[in-house]
Amino acid sequence: MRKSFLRLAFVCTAVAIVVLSACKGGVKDADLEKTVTEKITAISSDVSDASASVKDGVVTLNGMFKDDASKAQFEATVKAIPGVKSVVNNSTVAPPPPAPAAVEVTADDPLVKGVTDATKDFPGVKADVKDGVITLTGDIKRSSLPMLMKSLNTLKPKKIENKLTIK
Amino acid sequence: MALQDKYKELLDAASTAGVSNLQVREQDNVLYIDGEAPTGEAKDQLWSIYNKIDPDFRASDVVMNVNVATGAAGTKATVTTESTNLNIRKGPGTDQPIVGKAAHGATVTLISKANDQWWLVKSEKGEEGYAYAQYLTPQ
Repeated sequence: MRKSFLRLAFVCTAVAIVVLSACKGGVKDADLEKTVTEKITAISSDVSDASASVKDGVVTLNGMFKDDASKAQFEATVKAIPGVKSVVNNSTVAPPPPAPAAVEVTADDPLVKGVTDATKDFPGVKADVKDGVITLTGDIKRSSLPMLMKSLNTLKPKKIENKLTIK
Repeated sequence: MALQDKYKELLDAASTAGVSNLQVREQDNVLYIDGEAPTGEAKDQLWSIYNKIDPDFRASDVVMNVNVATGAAGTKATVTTESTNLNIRKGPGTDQPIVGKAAHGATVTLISKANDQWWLVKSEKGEEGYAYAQYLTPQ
């Protein structure tokens, strides 16, 4: 009788331990960290130097995201992982790239010289240059037009007004 | 951004063709495309796409300054004039005296680039001088 009571007590204690530990944690921090790290790998093109640590279900995120949207989206992704209690998002957002430099337009004097060289082999073509704009008049064969345009485009004009008559 | 939509096929082709230092800017209703094409064929392809989107280049809304990347000194280039000889000149400009000629289809050796328009070359006959880069296609 006494022996069976002891056995019952042992079984009860074992069950209690299992139930308690299940209530306490749910998902282990180490498993959560692994899941979050996998999620980081999946979005690696959006973030640099990313890392995550987990303590008691609280995920701390570090890294630099390409923009606010990707940062917010990833935080939501992490929050949605079962077992995550909250997210401390210490990650940052990359500064926007500098505005591209303004387009360089060749000054009229060197442009006139370049245009003279470029149109030399096209006797029917007349070209005027003003404020960086090349205006083409006269006539040209359709087959010769691309060659002329390729030459003129390398001179860095503001634009090219093509008023040529095409034969 | 409207022009980038209009010329999307051209811009996509430039990326696909491996144009390096590709820079696309839109300013005062003109789309400026700069870069270096890996080959003469890649450049020609971009020009035929441009000509398809804007037949005969009438719209005046693109300046495409895409040159063929040239290798180091010693690179060979083919003379790609329509049919005539290519003048080799004393200096970079059509006002410079002619010091030699290279036939259509001949090969010249690149010595250096004076600028995007004029390259210092040496002909097969050993004549050295400046030739108009538009008529040279690196091999």
